[in-house]
Amino acid sequence: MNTLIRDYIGSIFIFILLVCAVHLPFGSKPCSIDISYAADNHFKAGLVLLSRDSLTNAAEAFASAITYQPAFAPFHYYLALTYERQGNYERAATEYNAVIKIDPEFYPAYYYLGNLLGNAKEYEQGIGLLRRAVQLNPYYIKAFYALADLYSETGDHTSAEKIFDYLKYIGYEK
Amino acid sequence: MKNKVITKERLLLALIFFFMVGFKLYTVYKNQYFNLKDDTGMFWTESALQQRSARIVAATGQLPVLDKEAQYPEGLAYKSRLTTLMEIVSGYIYRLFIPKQVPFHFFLIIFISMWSSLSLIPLYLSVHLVTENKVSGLLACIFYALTPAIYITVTAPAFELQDFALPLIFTHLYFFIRAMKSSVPLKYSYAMLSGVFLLTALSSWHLTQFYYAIFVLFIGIVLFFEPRTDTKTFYIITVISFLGGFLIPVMRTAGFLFSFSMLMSYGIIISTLLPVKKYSIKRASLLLFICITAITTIFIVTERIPEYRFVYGLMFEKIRYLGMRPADPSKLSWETLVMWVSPFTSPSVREIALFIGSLMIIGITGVVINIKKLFKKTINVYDAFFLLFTVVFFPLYFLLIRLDVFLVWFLSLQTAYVFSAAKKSIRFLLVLCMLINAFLLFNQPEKILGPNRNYLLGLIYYIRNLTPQKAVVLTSFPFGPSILTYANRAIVLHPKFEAKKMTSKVKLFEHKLFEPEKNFYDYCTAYGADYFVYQADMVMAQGPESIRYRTHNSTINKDCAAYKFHFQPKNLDYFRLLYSNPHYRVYQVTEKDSLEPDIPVEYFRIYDERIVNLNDLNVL
Repeated sequence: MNTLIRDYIGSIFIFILLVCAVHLPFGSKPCSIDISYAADNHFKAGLVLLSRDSLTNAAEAFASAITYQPAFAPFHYYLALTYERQGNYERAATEYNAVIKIDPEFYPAYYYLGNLLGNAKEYEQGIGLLRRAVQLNPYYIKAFYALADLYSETGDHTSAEKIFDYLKYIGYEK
Repeated sequence: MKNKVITKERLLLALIFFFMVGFKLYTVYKNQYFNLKDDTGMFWTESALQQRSARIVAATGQLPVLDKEAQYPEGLAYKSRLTTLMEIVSGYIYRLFIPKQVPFHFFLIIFISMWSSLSLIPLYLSVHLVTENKVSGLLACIFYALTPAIYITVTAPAFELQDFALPLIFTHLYFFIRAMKSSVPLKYSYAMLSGVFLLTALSSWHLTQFYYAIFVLFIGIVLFFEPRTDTKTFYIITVISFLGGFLIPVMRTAGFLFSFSMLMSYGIIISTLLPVKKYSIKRASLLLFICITAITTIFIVTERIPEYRFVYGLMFEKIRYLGMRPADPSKLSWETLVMWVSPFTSPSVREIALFIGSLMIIGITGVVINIKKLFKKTINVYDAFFLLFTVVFFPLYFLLIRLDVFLVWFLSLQTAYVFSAAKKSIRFLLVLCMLINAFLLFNQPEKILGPNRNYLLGLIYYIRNLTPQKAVVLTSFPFGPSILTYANRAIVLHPKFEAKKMTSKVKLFEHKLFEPEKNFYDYCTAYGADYFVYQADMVMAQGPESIRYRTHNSTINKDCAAYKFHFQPKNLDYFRLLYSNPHYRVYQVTEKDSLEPDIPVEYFRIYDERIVNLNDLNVL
């Protein structure tokens, strides 16, 4: 008998609860809620600080943005730029690599990392990265010049000449 | 002693339950894109929309009757059009019981992981009820817990209505069988429980109606062959559903009282109540009512309630073409093609092997055992009930992969019959099959639902920070909820086709894309769109799930709006390109006179008509 009463009461309770749930929690007021994303705030702060050359604080801000959203390439990219401007090339290279890993089409990262490695006399890797940058953007003039410079530094003047010919062909000349 | 055994079984059942919950949480947590601190882009399409609704409930305790932001400018009627029970329940649990330090999106994952795993309990109880063997019940649960198909939606990660509704449907089934097995007065109380669980499922997921239709069909079949069957349980369930059709706004709007399942229920009840003693007349009346129901349903679907047309139309065409899309898409309407996309596609052999695994073999063995009993006429009505459901869900699964969750539940139930029938020496084969499924489960390839996360984040970041708060954004319908939920901007299109006017808006949008720019601009201004998000696949994709395929635009010309959005933004007269990444572009909808100088945007090869092979894209 107890089971019977329990089941009846249970059914009626669920039924009433259901009818209430589909009727009561609705209002005529608009229910837009403001959401703040910490990653956005840190990133915006980082950009302002970078433009003011406050590099240590900018790096902190970008790093904070990354802790909130590690899978977004531009956060890593701007952190890399900041490290590079600080002269912290090793950490800059790590961040550029993170950018490339997240977004293999992010050609500025190839360009800056290629330059960085070229300056460190790691020509082979630098040339490889710059070649990838110009593959991704065949109108990336400064990357072509950087690539031509690296070819010249390694004594490969033929390749450097070819680049200048190409630039002339597409209407750019130094 | 008996109590100890029960406790031991409950403990084992709890262990299986927590294994399921733990596995779901672990899979989501190890997903490279899961982020505890920031929910941007975590859910995709409908799940994102549902996350937002639940978030509104959690924050304010209510949903707006008409949400203009979710469907600009006419507004989305949550109460009368959408099944929002899952969002209301989860939102209120968070609001009332969860510390606010727990991130809301993380709570949703825990909630849906736990809720969806509750299907285990009715499975155990149902097996126990029909086989009266506790070990069989646990075995079926282990098979269920080790089958990869049941983890797909939650671990995507997603916050889907089906994961909320399924435990309710299975609990209804359990109470139905229990009511059938019990005598008066317990029969009525179980029937009531069965009815309210079904009603709750009906108010939380529109597709429950299709399950209900199969359920009613089963009752019809049983009554046809055995007119003396006691139908009081069915009467009670129908009465509760009937009340729901009046009292639940979303069911009232969808014309549930005139749905196929309800019309058939009325027919069955009338035929059983006819004051005739001859069974042949009862059978004839039953057939007559089923025919009348079918004709009325066709009339209602085509003339009165167009919302049903999409799903019924898809099912009809799928049966007509045996689940394979015809080579020429123009043979199918836009309405059918827009539905014929994942997860409404058919599973491949690989998918069946990967997601169902050895359960398919054991489950079919169980089905064969029961079919043998059926031919020998030794089968009881409960076993026949589960047999019918298992058999019916086979073709349905082959038509719609989304129905795998039903099939897996019924196949798991069938394993119990194999265990009961098998000799001890053969039982090790069952263990082997379990191991195979365990291997498949732990070696599932990582499945990421939705688009490339980095580009999605780039677009959302742009809209969230660099467009006005009151801006209205036009996107494709699957993409809209991401803008609404994570960028907090009003959207024109979303994937809830049951919302008023949504299908006609989506259809028009997809067709206008391939018309001259002015026509598309007129569409944008008619719906008040300030920004338009162009997706590279609007032109690049030509596959069976693409917009070009379903709008029958296998070839396009260079004058159409989509081509210009992709390759010639400078030649546009009414749209200004503001942002670009390899997957998305943001255009401002602006009149020609107000055109300002072009804003320099980054170069990407995919948008360069000098590099892209236009012949491959069938551009005239």
